[in-house]
Amino acid sequence: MSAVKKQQAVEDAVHSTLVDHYERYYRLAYRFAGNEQDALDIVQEGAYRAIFKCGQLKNPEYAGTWIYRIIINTAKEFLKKRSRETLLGEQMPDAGKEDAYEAFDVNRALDAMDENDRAVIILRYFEELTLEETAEVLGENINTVKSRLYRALRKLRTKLE
Amino acid sequence: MNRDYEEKDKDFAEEGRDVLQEMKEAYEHTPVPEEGRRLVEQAIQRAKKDKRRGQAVVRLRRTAVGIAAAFACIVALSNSSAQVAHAMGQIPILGAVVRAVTFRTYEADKENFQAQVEIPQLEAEEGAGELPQGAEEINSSIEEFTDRFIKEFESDMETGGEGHEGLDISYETVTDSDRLYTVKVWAVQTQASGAETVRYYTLDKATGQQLALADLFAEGSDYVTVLSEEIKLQMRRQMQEDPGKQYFLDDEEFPEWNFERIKEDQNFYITDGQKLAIVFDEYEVAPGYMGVVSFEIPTEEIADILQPDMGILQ
Repeated sequence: MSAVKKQQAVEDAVHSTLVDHYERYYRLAYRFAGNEQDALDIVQEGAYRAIFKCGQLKNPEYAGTWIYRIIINTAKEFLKKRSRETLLGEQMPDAGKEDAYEAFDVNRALDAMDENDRAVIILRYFEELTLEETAEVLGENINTVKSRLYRALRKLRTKLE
Repeated sequence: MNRDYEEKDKDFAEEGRDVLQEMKEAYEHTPVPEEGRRLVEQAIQRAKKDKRRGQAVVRLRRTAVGIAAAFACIVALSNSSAQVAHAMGQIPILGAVVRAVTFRTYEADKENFQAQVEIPQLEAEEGAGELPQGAEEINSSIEEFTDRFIKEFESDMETGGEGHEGLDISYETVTDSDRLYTVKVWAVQTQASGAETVRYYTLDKATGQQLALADLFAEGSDYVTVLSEEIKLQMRRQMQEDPGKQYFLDDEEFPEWNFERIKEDQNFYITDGQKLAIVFDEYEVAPGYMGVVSFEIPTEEIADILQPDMGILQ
């Protein structure tokens, strides 16, 4: 396949993955942002970046894990910016507030975790990615992911006991 | 160690299965606003438009460069009668050892498939004696390089496929000095957008050998690192000065795509001003809209690792 054809195939794959799995990306963003408005912003910004930068993705097969990675990185960046703005008192009226809605209190335990530990639990157990895929999304090696899982599960258990 | 973790992972997953199952269900019940799907589609269209705009800007720049180059050529011809005389009458001048001629052409025009291919070969100038060995090596490298594109094109044409596909291969003599002869061969594959691949082949007339990047540097010198660092510096400077320019560098999000080092035999040529220029193919170190990019290396930055007495760079 020619380089151009490959690029087109990659862009098409990223586009359809973004649309088909929109719910997954939104839920992931929501778990980081804590409110609907911010989660929507993260998903849109992530979609824009994924299409704009998809020239860097050489194989369309990796579109799925690659987009998870963009959403997580966009969310982390967003949170960092939000906490800076909160400190400076420039907070928007709605931004950063947690919606009153919580399906189950149990997910609050997730919120107390380190961002990468939280991502590991979501990707591995909720989105049912393999360990390898989870490692790929986080750009970490598989042993680091395993120890994150181990630590995160232990924390969850002590919290819920 | 691995096994240990896997078992623990499994144990915890077993023990905590109910909790995890409960959490998973709660997670999956996060209400998802339907309007988000439309917003995502809009963001995608915006990104595609911005990407195409970036490509359009570069195409415009390239056209402008093309016009300037053609113009420079005319000026050179009218001002330098000796060269014109040479071109017209084939009067041998010092340094005329080889020249590039079209060796093979290939054209295709079938439904949506168009190809226009001119493959050069170096041949000995009249009265210059035998073709140097280095020139023969260059000829087989050129053939190998161009064959790849033609084969790809032909196999695509056989299988059909949707949409338009084009292949253009052409060449030009970049340098013909007393010392060096450089021919540039480039291939442009076109579909929705284009991808350009370039190779520069330089013959050192003094030795009759093909000039490799490593030949320019003292033996054992780490030219790869020195050149790579200089290129990174230039990339950063360019990105700072012109936000329209983007290289794969210092990107925290995708560190594995960042430009790290040039290849030992990275594409290069020697400019008219006798400077070293390092060349990267489209997509090699920058997004597609940046096209083929090259970096001119100030000779003073590499002066202390140059092969002494080479006399090629100034």
